[in-house]
Amino acid sequence: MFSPAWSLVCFALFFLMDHPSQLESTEITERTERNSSQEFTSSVSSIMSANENPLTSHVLDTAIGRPAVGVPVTLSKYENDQWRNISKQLTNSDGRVGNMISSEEFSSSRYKLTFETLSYYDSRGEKTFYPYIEVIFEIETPEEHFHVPILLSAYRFSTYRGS
Amino acid sequence: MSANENPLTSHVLDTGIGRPAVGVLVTLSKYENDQWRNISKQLTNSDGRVGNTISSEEFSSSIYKLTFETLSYYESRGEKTFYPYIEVIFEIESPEEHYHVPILLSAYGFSTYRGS
Repeated sequence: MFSPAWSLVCFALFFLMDHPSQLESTEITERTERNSSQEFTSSVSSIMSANENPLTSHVLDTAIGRPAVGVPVTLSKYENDQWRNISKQLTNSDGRVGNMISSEEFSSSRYKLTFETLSYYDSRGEKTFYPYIEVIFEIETPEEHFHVPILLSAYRFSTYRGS
Repeated sequence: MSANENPLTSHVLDTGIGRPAVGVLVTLSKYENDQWRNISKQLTNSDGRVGNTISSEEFSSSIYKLTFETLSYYESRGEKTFYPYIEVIFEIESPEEHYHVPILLSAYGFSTYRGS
């Protein structure tokens, strides 16, 4: 009944079902290596894109304890003995601006942020001492993130390098 | 009549060391005919102050700018700073009043306000 030949066939079938062929083994190895390579690549990309938004700002209206919404903010870069405008945005509902400059353009240089405070206070029907505020700062390590906020009120402001 | 002889003064305090910032070059400019005109240039004294930046005759309703040369101040101390210079632009509407525009300064932050 269980001839040696039949046993051999059964054994062969069993072996084939449970163990991948040589070709399949190669494919699995390649897939594993590809996955590892992709993981490595995406880790590297995530490190490389870590400074995608290298410069951000925030305007807080300290007199009302709220973000200053809708303040026009211009970023300029000092090149060839003059200021070149890079971007202009309004502060959002949280008083913030981001994506002012790409990491490619963000090199070691001198920059200026200009905050149009007069239009902000005009829109609120208030007066202010400062028609606009300029903050000029020097970047020496463009691989780092720089946060340059303003704490603002009508007759006072402060700024600092934040995070 | 001489009540407003010294209508605009300034003061620089180095909050990093809790002392006046001595020898900071301060330039006052006035915005006229769509451009800035330099009015005066002085170093802060031993108390970190500048006075007599402008005469009462010249001090009319206008936009002014004080420029503080902070880079040279920190360089003379062998220190680095985030701000190569600081500009404070302000509007004067009551030139009969006295205006004090000081800076509280540190290497990575500053503040300013209308003082007295």
